[in-house]
Amino acid sequence: MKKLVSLVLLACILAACSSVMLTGRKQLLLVPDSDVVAMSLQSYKQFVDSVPPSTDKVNTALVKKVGAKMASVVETYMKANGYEADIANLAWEFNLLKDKQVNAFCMPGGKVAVFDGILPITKDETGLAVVMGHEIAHAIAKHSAERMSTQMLSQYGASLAGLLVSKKSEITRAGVNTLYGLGSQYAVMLPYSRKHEYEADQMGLIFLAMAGYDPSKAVAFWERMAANGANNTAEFMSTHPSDANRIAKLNALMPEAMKYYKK
Amino acid sequence: MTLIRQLTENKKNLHSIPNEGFLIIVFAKAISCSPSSDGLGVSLSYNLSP
Ligand SMILES: [Zn+2]
Repeated sequence: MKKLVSLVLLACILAACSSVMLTGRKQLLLVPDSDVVAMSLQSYKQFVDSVPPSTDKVNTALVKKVGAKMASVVETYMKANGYEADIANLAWEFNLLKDKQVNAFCMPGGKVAVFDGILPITKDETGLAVVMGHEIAHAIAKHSAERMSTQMLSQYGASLAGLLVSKKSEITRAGVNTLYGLGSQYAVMLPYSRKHEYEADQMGLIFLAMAGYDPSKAVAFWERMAANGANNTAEFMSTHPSDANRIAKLNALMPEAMKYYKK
Repeated sequence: MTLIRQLTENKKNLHSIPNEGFLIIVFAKAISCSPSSDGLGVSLSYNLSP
């Protein structure tokens, strides 16, 4: 245990603990965001090249337009609030891809891909902006670099558990490793992932308002997602919050988001 | 690899920690599992829906 504490302390000394824009949450980044972005650029390009672009010209243009608008207000906010240095790590890209999936994703550096299967759920420009705000938030909050850092610490824990039982029999050792793996999945990584999702919802809601879209429309979007029924896994077993919990949290955050909304 | 370099440069800080060699091995192991080798299933992307 002493070693684990030392390691966390050491990590904090080596890689300064930073705080997330808008939410102020402290995060530990063992990996610099710039390193993660460098990896992301390549993966994103590979992915986008492997999936055909959407043939829907109108919505392709809308994805780029909404993306550019959100990126612009976010950068303005970053400049005004002490996050200017992070702008250098952003290489925004917004693509609409031809795929039936009701989904979208973001990679570090602001590399966003939206699948045109989600268009019936986003419905209009504001719906699309809800998706975009959420996805952009993952990049701004450096969630990938943080996830990687946690994974590194979790690996350290596994090695430590392995070391503690290294004098025990093979069978005990295998058992401990399996339990540790399961434990860290349900007790550490999944709640961790959900924390990122809630944070992206929170920041995304504010980005939405900053860009001039009515944040209350985010609730309607998640209700349509819930009705679509893609997210049926029990929350504790899932990387994502349940739709009901998500909607409840969004409603609670609405008064704060409204402050950024200029009618 | 930045971390390894930092660890080496900050070697003095490590003297208070027992078994520094062990720590470095663990770090090296963790770093080698970065997303470029997707053995761990670490993904860079964040999907909207699971
Ligand atoms: Zn998300």
